[in-house]
Amino acid sequence: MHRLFVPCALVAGAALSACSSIAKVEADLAAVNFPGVAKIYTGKLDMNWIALEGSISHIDINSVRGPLKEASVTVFEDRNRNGQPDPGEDVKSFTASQSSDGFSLKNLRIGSGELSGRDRNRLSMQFKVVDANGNTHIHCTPI
Amino acid sequence: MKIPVSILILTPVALALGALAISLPANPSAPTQSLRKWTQRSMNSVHAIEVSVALDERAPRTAWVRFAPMSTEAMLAMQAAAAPNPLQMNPLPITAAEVELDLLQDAQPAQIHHATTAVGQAQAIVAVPEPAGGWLGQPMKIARRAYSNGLLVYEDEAILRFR
Repeated sequence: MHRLFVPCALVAGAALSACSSIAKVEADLAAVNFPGVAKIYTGKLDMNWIALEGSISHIDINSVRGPLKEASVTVFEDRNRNGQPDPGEDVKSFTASQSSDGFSLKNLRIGSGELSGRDRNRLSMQFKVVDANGNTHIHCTPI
Repeated sequence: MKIPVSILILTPVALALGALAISLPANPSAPTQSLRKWTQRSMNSVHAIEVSVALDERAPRTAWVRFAPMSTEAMLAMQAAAAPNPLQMNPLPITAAEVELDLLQDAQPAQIHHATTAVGQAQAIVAVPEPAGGWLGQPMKIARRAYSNGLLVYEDEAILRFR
């Protein structure tokens, strides 16, 4: 349970494992670059380790080169540790809405009820972006 | 809600380090890589790069950040996840990597730690010494980047505040 819903692997080294040791973590900004395709920014992230609740105020997926066709975020339990959400591993998926710069999501929340029975040490998050040509680009990170 | 007993009895540091459960040799200047326990990977499809982390359990707690090409297995899993759309992937060799660490309360410029790929190796490992004040209890910005002959091929960053 101690690595819940913080995209810790967005950050380096000890800081990510440090996430596990305290009651509350806030991230003011996290960003993932799809070089030459898009850049993803998360807004304020709150994680309460004790209550097993997490939220992200918003996620902006901005196009770097050409328009984007679609974008989504999936939280999943990576049972087989292959880094991808396989059938039965999905916890919650969020579909992004089109914005002026690309796509965006608002008020992403996961509560303890949605994590019942899940191995929280294997929770991961997948960002998926489809460009105008239909090519998919994926970033996965443990949380 | 029922909270597992293990969470209640473990000290914060034990929790932080227990997730990694690293066992390293006595000489920190020559850690044996095989004894490091790397965290789960972050993976980015654009240039097929994965990043993982290990942490020395002794003080000062040096962190190692490893940038490596994605395995064939990981690429296949990612392609399956992209279906029915094609996964556009342009693997490039990692030639250098860096980790930027900025303590937001110290008014000092960020420190950037560098590494290059060793001869015959496909991966770059950046050593990040524990900052003054430790890893816990202070806001910090951390960015991780990898390059292929000067071209940025991997980047992520975050600003964290622990409470």
